[in-house]
Amino acid sequence: MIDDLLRGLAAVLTFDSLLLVAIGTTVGLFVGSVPGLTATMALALLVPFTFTMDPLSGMVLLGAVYTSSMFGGAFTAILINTPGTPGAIATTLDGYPMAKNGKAELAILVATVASVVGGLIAVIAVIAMASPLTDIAIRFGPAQYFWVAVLGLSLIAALSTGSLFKGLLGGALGMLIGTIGISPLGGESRFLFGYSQLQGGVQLLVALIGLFAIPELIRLAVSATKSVDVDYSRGSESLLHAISLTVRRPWNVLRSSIIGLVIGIIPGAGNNVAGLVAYNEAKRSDKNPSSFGKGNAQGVVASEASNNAAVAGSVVPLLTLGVPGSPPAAVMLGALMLHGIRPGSALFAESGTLAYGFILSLGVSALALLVVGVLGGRLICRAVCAVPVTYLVPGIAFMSILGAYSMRNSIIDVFIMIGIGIFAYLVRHIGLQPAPIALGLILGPIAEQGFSMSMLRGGAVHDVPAYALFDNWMSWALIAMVFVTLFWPILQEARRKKTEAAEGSE
Amino acid sequence: MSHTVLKAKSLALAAASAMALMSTPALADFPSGTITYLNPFSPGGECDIVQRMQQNPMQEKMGVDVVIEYREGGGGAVGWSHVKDQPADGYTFACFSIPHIIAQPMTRDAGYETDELHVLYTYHSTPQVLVVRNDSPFETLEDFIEAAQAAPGSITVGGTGTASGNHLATVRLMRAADITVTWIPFPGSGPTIPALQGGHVTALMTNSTMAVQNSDHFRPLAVATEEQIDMFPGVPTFRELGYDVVEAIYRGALGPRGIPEENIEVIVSTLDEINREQDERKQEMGFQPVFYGPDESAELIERLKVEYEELLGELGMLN
Amino acid sequence: MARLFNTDMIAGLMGLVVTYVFYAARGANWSPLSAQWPNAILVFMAIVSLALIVKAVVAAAPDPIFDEGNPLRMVWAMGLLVAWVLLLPRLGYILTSVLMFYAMWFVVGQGVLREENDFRQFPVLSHLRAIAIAAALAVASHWLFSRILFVPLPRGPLGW
Repeated sequence: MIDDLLRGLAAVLTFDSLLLVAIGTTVGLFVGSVPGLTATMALALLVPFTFTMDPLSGMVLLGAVYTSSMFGGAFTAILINTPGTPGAIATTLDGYPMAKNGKAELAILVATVASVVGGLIAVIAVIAMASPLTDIAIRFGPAQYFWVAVLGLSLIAALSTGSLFKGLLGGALGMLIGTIGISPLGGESRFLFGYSQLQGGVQLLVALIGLFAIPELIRLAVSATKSVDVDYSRGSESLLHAISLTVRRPWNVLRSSIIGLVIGIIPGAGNNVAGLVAYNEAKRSDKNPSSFGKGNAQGVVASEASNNAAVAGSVVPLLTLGVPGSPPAAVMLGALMLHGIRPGSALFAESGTLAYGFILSLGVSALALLVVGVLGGRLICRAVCAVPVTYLVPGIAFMSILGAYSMRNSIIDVFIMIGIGIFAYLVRHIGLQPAPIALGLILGPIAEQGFSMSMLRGGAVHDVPAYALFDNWMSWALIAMVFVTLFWPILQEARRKKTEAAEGSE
Repeated sequence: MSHTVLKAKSLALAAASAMALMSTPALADFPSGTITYLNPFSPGGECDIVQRMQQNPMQEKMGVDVVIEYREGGGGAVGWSHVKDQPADGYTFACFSIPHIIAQPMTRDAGYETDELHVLYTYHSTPQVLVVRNDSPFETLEDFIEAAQAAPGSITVGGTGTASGNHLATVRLMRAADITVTWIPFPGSGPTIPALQGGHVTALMTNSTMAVQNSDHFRPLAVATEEQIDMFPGVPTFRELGYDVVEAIYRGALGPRGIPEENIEVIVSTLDEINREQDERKQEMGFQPVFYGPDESAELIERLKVEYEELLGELGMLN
Repeated sequence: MARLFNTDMIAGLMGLVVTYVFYAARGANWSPLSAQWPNAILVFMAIVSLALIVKAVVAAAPDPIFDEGNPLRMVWAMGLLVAWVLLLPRLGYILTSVLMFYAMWFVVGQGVLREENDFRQFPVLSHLRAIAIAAALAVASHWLFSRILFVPLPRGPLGW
């Protein structure tokens, strides 16, 4: 293994590979920071170019694009409150308030540092423990998927800023939207309302643009004043400040990275949920949880460290099982197969140089983010902040529409996006936030599949089908986590009141 | 001056329209513009892999750009109902898979009918294979079937979706062997692999590609082909063991109805040439190449229509 | 002058309406595999909606809504967005983009002036600049998407 590792390292540290990493991260950053461009699309377009390369170079390029496009989603999250990738939803929660407080540039730098650290920690962990990590992916059965989704949904309770009931209503709405289209297991079409074009369902990214970008745009138009503002009076933010903010709470970075890594391994659920779980843990363990959601840099750190760790995590099932955990990973799997390489446990034995080289290159890409992110981040931040609101509003509209259209070359998707957007703007006034709706939309299908498959399996192996949801210790561990997530805020509140009362009686 | 320009222009226009008139019936110059090769599934899927393999050779042979356009959704239905409405000029065609294009319109309003699509060429099949984990107690198909007879419904078989190739093959097996197993549909072929490895299902009815790619973990019990195939040496067919189960997913290219014959010929001969060149490579990946032109493909579809109608009818799934 | 509304009541009623709309749109003969999950969500949603209504009656807590900026501009912004989608397949990508970009620029620009109590009109030059920027954006993105990313954008009567 050490041999392969060293050979992989040697292969990655050549001029050609480093050049590919540089190109890949730049392309990825661009793709990730423009709301309409997706990592999947960029990767699919790059695959033919990798035909002429040797397999490792091809994978290095694709891996770099993937890594940095996941990171690029943070920019739009911070600057226009729109997660460029589903993984960046949690980044909006504190990143955008930071930008409103005049700390946009600091938020971007913190996101960069956290991403780099998260990515590196995860790469090291993957190299050291690829096979136990694969075990996690294998042990995850339908019941565990169901409980992970429930855990994610319980975050609604923990994260909903206003009323709990409104958060739950938002989550239910999101789940309902998620049922539109062909039922994933039953194969029947649901809630098409007479439009056969709706068979494809509501695409997650289309919905995210609608939920986040459109309300922001309408709000900017209505108030006709800029909301993101950069405080230049203090000069530009220094990278050192960002590093010290990140490293000051080493436990937060480490915990978030581990959460990202472990959740990222679970195919399908991982990347989208990791950021939110880590964010919630950061908020829960903080001395001052109420500062979250108002521009606490630690929230950005948690979200970004974990969603970049999840990228490395998602590579584990891809390489060891041949199971892509996300659409971009599916494209990378296709590229591997086109090169005649068969993923699976034999991959590490047969082409160890390739496997380790590829994983190491993700680490190199993470490091490259530091350079590209700091330079590009500053540039994008200043550019967006310099655009007057009169141009920003039509600009966001333009990008959103182009983005929604290009997802599937479908005008229906643009209609859906605008419809969801206007709806999201209106219901925000009655206290329904976009994050719970997005959470419901992401987790609803996962919960449904996990639940239905568990019940089918339960019917075969147990007397009562529902036992299948509880017949494994991992299920119980997840159930315990759900309870902690749900009741911790209540406990915390009670304790706070108690101490307040104690102080008051003195 | 301006007169001469005008005159030259009108001359050129006249010449152009004359040429256009002349060339319309012959259509010798197909293709002369960008070809859209639509993928109704997501990037990274099996259509995508094949289309990417074909893209470059197609551009070389046809001398025009070939663009792969994604229109995913509804298990392919969104893409195929789009293709159905495109101009029938040969510049737009799509990857298809059977049973999808037959079963979807039978079970629901899919936005298209099978007969509205013209299958131009079928380039490969992925036969269905019943696999278990390497350490499974089931060494042979007989073991599996005996266990299923001993405790009806207690054995779980996983695969993709409902009314899919995997599902229909499983239904055929249940009919042929008169057993009951619990069908567990997965939302895609990817998640089935860890599900079998982790023991969340007893067996998988899966595509030959999946079985080949995971041969170090999975043991194939039987193949749903008419005769044994090279990629599974020594693995019996269901028929050899006495169960009439033949099922495969076929892939190829289809367009809207009404494409001119000449253009179809160009497309078919190009695809056929490429398919023969890539024969060996595709087999290594687990695809079983076939070389069906429009007529053979139509026969295949007509035959399967009857069979699927019966199977789906028994399942109570006909719309 | 902020108007106060009981948002719990509004949210609860809206939840019930959405529940009903989806309830009515359920298929008559879905298999359990397709029906269980939507049914579960609808029940959950109805319960949450009713809880919100109860809360609204028991402990009314009115909040101000639509109290930011100018509500007329809200209607404009929404209208322009809808118009944008409607025109896209008819006028084609470039024409629609330029037109709607310009319109939105105008609405927001007027708004900025009004917010600052400035009742002048924009000089002609700034109109031209907005159109030029919109056109540049539209053409550049059209080139990027159709030539590099191979995403065919909606065509208008003139083919672009």
